[in-house]
Amino acid sequence: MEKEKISYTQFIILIIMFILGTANLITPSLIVSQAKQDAWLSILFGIGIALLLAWLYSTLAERYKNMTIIEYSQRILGKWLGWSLSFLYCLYFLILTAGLLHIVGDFITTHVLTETPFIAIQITFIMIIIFAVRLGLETFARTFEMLFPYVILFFIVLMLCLIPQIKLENVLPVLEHGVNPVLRGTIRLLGVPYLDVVIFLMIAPNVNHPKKVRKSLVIAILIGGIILLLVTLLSILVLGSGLTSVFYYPTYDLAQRIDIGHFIKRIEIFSGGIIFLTAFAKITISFYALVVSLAQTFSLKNYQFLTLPIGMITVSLSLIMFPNIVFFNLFMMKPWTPFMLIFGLLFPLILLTVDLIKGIFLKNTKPRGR
Amino acid sequence: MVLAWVGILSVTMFILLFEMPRLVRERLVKESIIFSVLLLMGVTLSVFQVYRVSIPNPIYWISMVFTPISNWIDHYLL
Repeated sequence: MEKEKISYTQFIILIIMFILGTANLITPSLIVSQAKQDAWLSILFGIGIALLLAWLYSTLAERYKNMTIIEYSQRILGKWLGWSLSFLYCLYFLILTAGLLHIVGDFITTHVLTETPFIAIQITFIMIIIFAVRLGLETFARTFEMLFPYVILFFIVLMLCLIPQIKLENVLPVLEHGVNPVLRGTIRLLGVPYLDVVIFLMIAPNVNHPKKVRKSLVIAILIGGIILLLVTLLSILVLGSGLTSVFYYPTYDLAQRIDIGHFIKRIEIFSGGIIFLTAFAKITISFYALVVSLAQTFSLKNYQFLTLPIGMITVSLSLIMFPNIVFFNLFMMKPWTPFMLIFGLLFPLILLTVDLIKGIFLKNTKPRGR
Repeated sequence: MVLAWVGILSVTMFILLFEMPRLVRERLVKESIIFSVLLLMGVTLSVFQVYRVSIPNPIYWISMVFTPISNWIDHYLL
């Protein structure tokens, strides 16, 4: 499989879009439900921990510059162990894609197209994604580069329009129940966007400056975290912590509150549009990772021919795995972070440790890749 | 029901006709096998959707394993 190359800026934009994909969907309500009005503090903690994760991922990516996590797990752990690890990663990407597809379907059926069947939306969405992934990483990275300014512009406009509605007393009292709820919020935050960044170990070898992977991860995590912080803070300030934890799609509900002089109002569908864009970006990236990881696990010639059948499987699985939104909510709230700790922290740590130990013992045999 | 069958079959035929000729022409045996297996899985899952067959849900297993860990983290570590 020949490597497509993306630039360093495109890589940053991919990561930011990936973090925003759920940042304006479920993350704020997940954190606020635990940390109440102190959610902004738990996001600050979360960004700090995410920077450590960025260090871990970029160290792995720099040791094997031209390989994805699937390829070097087989080189580090040997054939069978490495192959099983790769297969587990494929399953994780499948669950991620199916879950994201479920969120988007649920968002559109509850807020925008209320009479359309769930599956119709999912099929149309996955068709676009299949189209994007078949065209390749370069193409969709350029697409997101083109769409990214609109996303940022939207966030700025949203914040400016909501300034009149801010009630500062909503963030008080600070640390009402001590630090523990804040840390619980941080755990949720790590699970939903930040440990998922491990997916970029599938894309990191395609960056044309391998030296800059670390820098771009850090920049992207900071920018994504700041936008997430602003969205959460804004929804606490405007809606209050009670309503934010109930609403599942806070940017949409925030945009509904915009009312400038009884003249500019009901502009929430812009917010809906931005949610489609970022969710499209996030699902495209995870679907790409799914397809490429499968192709590399079974060492296939290319990945394009896998997209259509896997798209079919993903649509059915997103209905089978997550029968309703309540189940999905509970899954995101409780088991998702420990599950992600295994894929996002434990496995990369194991890979790095084994590789370091091997590097010490096999010093004279030139162990690592190209 | 009939409509669902027509839909599934036409989608499957479309995918087969779209991908198979190239795979056969380039004589990619392993690729063809994996493609067919995946397509068969897709069709089976879709048919299960049509007849509302309940199949074991891996998410339940994941929840069963990891929810106690999450509760433990919430109660003791923090």
